[in-house]
Amino acid sequence: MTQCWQCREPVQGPVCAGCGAIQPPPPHPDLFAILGMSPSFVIDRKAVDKAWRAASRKVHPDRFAGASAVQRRMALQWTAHLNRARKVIRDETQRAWYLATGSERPSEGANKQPDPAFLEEVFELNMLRAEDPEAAILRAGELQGTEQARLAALFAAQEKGGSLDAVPAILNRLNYLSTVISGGHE
Amino acid sequence: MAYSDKLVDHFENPRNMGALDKESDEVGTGLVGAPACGDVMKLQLKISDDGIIEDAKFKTFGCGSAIASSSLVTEMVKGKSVEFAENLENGAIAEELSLPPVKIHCSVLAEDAIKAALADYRRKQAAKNAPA
Repeated sequence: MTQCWQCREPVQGPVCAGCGAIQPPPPHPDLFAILGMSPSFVIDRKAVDKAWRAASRKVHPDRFAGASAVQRRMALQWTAHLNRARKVIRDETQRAWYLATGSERPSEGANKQPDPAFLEEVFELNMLRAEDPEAAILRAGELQGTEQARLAALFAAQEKGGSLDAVPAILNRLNYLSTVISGGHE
Repeated sequence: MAYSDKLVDHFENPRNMGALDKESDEVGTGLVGAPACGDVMKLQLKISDDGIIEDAKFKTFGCGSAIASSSLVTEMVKGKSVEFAENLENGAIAEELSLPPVKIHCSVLAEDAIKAALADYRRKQAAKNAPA
């Protein structure tokens, strides 16, 4: 239990029940915890939105419009954390990465090479796509299904003590496959 | 985003696109990928007994910068020694094409592809020269 930075009373959560002061957010909050959720790969998006709305109301900057500049700043910081938490948790890829590694998925630089056999497969799929897009997309879709099933199986096994070490590699493979399917190389 | 004329030229008229015989022990093949953007790049080098890169070919599925980077790198190493290719750094590619910061990783991919092709060539040579 921490103390309120203003009235020194014990405080739980982002706002002091005693004096109403907003508390400084931790620098790297647990994204599930700040929404009041337990970490889980299986989520209900509506429940995430609901949790986000409830948490956001408590720290909304409008609530602290008349407070000191320090508190107004903290309200903005909390809001930014909550928005990020909602975005990461709603997205399956980002959620899986976060659960497996404890950090957010880098938009670039997660450049660990996949196994050569898979890379060869992606290359062949791209070659096929140039000639027969439908066949390539169907094949990529099948592989995508397999990887998604593996991902779900890893998270299911985690409850019985299974490791999530293989998750980032699966997410990277899924990213290659979705690029083949969308045909999008920006 | 404004791309340099050189980059656009390499993208629109890629040099050395194609494939070499990957079974030949004079040919090293490098296949690399960038998970962040889903790009894949295959680069092949045909190397003579005296260590000169006689031919270079590539096939890249990726953005314009990835295609231009691989096109340029084949031009840079063709006719040069293995040592030259080994010491080639992505900065030279990025500078030549004036790659914007968000596309620097495309030049890294091209450097990785060259290194992977050289490693494959060395593996083949070692296997060939190993006592049967």
